[in-house]
Amino acid sequence: MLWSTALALLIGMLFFFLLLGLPVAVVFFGVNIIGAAIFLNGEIGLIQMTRNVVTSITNYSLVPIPLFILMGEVLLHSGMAFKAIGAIERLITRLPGRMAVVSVAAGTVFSALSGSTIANTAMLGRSLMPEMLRRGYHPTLSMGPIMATGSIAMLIPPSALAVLVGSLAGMSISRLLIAGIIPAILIAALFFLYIVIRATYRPQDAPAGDLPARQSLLERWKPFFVYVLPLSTILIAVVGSLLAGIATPTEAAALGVIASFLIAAAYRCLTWQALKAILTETAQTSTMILFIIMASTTFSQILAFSGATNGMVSLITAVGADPFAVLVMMMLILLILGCFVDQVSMVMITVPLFVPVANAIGIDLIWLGVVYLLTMEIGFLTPPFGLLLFVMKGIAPPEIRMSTVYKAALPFVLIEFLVLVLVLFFPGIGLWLPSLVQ
Amino acid sequence: KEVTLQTVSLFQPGMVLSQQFERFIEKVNAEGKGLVQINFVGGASAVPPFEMGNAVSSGVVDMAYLPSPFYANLLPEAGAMALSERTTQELRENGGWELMNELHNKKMNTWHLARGADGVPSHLYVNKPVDKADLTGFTLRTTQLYRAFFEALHATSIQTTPAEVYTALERGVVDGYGWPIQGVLDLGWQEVTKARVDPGFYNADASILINLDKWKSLSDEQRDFLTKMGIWFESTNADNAAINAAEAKKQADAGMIVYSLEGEEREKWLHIAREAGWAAFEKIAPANAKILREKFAAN
Amino acid sequence: MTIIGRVSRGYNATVFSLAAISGTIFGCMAFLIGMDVLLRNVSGTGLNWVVESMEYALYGATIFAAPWVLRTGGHVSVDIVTSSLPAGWGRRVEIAAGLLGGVICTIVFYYSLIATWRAFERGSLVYKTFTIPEWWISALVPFCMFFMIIEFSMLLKARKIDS
Ligand code: NA
Ligand code: NA
Repeated sequence: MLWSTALALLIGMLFFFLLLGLPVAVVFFGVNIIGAAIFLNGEIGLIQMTRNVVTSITNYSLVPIPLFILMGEVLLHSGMAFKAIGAIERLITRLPGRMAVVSVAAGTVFSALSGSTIANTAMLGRSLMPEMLRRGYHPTLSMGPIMATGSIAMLIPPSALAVLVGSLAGMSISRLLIAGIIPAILIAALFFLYIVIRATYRPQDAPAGDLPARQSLLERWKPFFVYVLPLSTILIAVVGSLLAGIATPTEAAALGVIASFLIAAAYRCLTWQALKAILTETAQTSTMILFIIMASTTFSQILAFSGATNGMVSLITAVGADPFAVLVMMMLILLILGCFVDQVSMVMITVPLFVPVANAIGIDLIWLGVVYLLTMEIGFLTPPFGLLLFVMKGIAPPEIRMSTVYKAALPFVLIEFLVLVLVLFFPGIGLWLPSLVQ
Repeated sequence: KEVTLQTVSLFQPGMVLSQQFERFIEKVNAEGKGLVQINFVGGASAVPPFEMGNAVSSGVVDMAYLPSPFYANLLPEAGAMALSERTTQELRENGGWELMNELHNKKMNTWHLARGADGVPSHLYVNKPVDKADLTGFTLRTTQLYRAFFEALHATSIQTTPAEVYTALERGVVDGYGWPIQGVLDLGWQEVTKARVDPGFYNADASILINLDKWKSLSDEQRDFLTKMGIWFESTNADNAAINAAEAKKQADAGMIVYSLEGEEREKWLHIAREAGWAAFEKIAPANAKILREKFAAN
Repeated sequence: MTIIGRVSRGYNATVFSLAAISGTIFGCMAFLIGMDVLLRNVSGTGLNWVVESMEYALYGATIFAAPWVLRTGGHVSVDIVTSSLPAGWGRRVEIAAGLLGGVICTIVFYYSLIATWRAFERGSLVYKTFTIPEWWISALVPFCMFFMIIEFSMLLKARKIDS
C-alpha cells in the first residue's frame, strides 16, 4: 500500500469513528485495531497494541498532568477562587466594561494557579457570569471574556496540556511550560484593550451603573491582601521554581498541589464535601486525558509502520520546503483539526508526523510547541466542536443559545489568532523567556 | 526471491551508538539486492523502547537492534553481554555466542545474529571529585545495569527518566550517573557534567535480533548472507576503540575533566564492578549464570 | 431483592469504589513526590521507590476510573453529528456507536487477556526498582476492558428503553 493511501485510510477511519460520537479514547482503540491488523502483522500486532497501553502510561513525565488539574480543582471547589474574584473586583473600578475586565484579570491570575482550562472557565463562569447578566451586560460580553481567559490556563504554567505536548513530542517540558507565559500575557492585554474599547463605543453592552459603593482605601485593599496575595505562594511554588530552574515539572507540580492544599486548609475551606468534589473532578478530567494517551500510543507506531511517517518526512525534505512555510502549514492543519476534535486528539494525531518533519528540516521544537499550545487554545473556542463553548453552554442560563455562545467567542478567537501570527513572525515572543533559563 | 526485513532500533539515527548499525543496514541493502533488504522503520519513536524485545519476539518486526537491558523481562540471561570481557570474535570461538543464541532461540524466539557496541566501556560521570573506589556520600542516577556496582561502593542510587537527568544534574539532585563512553554528548549532558571517572567498566552491548520464525522462513542462501553480514558487523567492533577516543576528546573539548583512579584503587574499582555485576546477574538468571560467566568473563 | 438486583448493586458499588480509589491515588501522588523531594534535599537520600510507584499509580488510577468516567459521560466525544441529526436518526447512530464501542472494547479485552496470559506463562519479570511479574501489571488492561464492555452494554440498554 502506498504511504499516502495508508495515511488517508487511517485518518479517514479516525474521523468516521469520531463523528459517530464514540468516546475519543475508544475511537483510537478502534482505529488502532484495524491499523495493527493491517500494518503490524495481524494478531501479534493486536497483542502488541494492548501491551503498549501499559508502556504509554507508566511514564513519569506524565505525572504533572493530574497534579496540575488537581491544583485547579482545589482552587475551584475550596471556594478560594470566589473569594479571590471578589477581592480583585474591588480593586478594579471606573473602567469601561469593568466586570469583563475583572474576569480577564482574575482569569489570568488563576491561570498561574491552575492547570485546567475547564476548571478555570467553570470558576469564572459560576462566579461572574450571573452577576454580569443581572447587571445588563450583553450576553456576548459576559461569556466571551470568561471562555477566552479560561483558555489562557493552558498557556501559563501549571498547564496539563503543555506537559502532554512536551512529553509526547520529546520537547523540554520545562522550557515549553515557560514559553507560554509571554504569549499568554500578550493575549490577556489585548483582551483587556478590546473590552475597554468595545465598552467605550458601545456602552449599552456594558452598563456603567455597576460601581460598588465608595469604599475607603483599606476596605478596598484588605480583601486583596487576605484572599489574593497568599495565593502567590502557589505561583512561586510552580512558576517561580520553573523559572528559577530549581525544580523539574513533576516536582513543581507536587509543590503546587501541596501549597494549594495548605492554603485551602489555612482558610478553613477544606471540608470533606470539598475534598470529595476535588478528587472526583480530578479523577474525571485526568482520566479523560490519560485514557486517550493509553489508547492512542499505538497510532504513531502504525503511522511509522505504514510508511506514512518516513514518506511524509522524505516528501517534505525532497521538495526542499522552507521551514517557515512548513510551520505555517502545520499551523493551518492544527487550526482546522481544532475545529473538529479535542485538544488531546489534535496532539495524538499530528505529533507522530509533525515532530519527525520538524526535526528533519530544523524547525525549533519549542517554537513548534508554542504553535501547538496557541492552536489548541483556539481550538477550545472554535465551532462546531469547542470544549469550552460546551462548558459555557452548560453554565449559562438555558435561554442563551449555542449561536450566541459562538458569537461571544469570536472576537477573542481573532485576538488569539493575531497573537499566533505574531509568534510566527516574531518567535522571540515564545522563545525568549525559556532562553533565559539554563 | 528478495525478502524485506522490517527493522527497528533503540537508537535514533544520527546518535553515535546508532552509527555502527546504520552502516550495517547500508551494506546489507547494497550487497543484498535481490536477496535481502532492510526497511528501517525507525528508532524508539516507532516502537516503545521496552516493547522492542516483545515486538521482535512475537514478529511485529522482523529485526531489532537492541541493548540487553531493554529485553531483560524476556531474557535476563542476555545481561551477560554487558558484563562480557571477551571480544565478539572470541565468543564465536569459545561457544559463548552459540550458548547466547540458543538462549535467544528458546526463551525469546529470536535469532541472535550479531552483537555491536562491543568494546565500549561504561564510566561513572560526576560533579564531585572521586579519588578512591568509594562513593560514600554520592547520590547517583542509575539504571538497573549500574545499580549493584554503585551501591556496592556505598553510593545512594535514584532512578529518574532520561528527560529529568539534565535538570537533576544541573541543580545537584544527583552527583553523577553511569553511561557508556559514547553518547553523553548526544544527550547534551556534557553541559552539566564536570568530570568522567576512569577506568571504564563493563561493556555496552546492542544486538541484532531476528524473529526466529522469520529466520527459519529464509532460504539457506539468505541466512548465509545475513550470517556473513553479521560477522562483518562484529568485525566493525574493532572501530570502537577509535570512536571511544574521539568521544573522550569531544568530552574534553566540552570542558569535562577526568578523575583517574590508579594502582590499588583502580584494581579495587574494577574488581567491585565485576563482582557486584555478576552477583546481581546471578540473582536474575540463576539457572544459567554460572555457565555464562565461564564463557563471557575472562578466566 | 432479586439476584439480578443484587448483582447490579454489587456491580455499581464496584465501579464507584474503583473510581474512589482512583481519586485517592491522584490525591496522594503529590504528597509522596513532595516527601521524596523534601527528604532528598534535607537528608540527601530520597525515597527510591517513588518514581516507579508513581508510574504505576498513574496507570492504575486511570484504569480504575475509566469505566466510571464512561458512565458519567466524562470521556470527551465529538457529538457534532449526532446532536445535529433528527432525533430518530440521532438515536440510531448512537445505538450503532454504542454497539461499535462494545465491540472495540471486547477486542481489546480479548487480546490484552492473551498478552497477560503469555506474560504469565513465560514467567516474565520486570526489573526496575521493584522486580515484579509482568502479568500483574498487564492484567489491569483486560480488567478495565471488562468493565468498559459492561458499561457500553448498559448504555445501549438505557438507549433502547428511551426509544
Ligand atoms: Na495554567
Ligand atoms: Na474547536
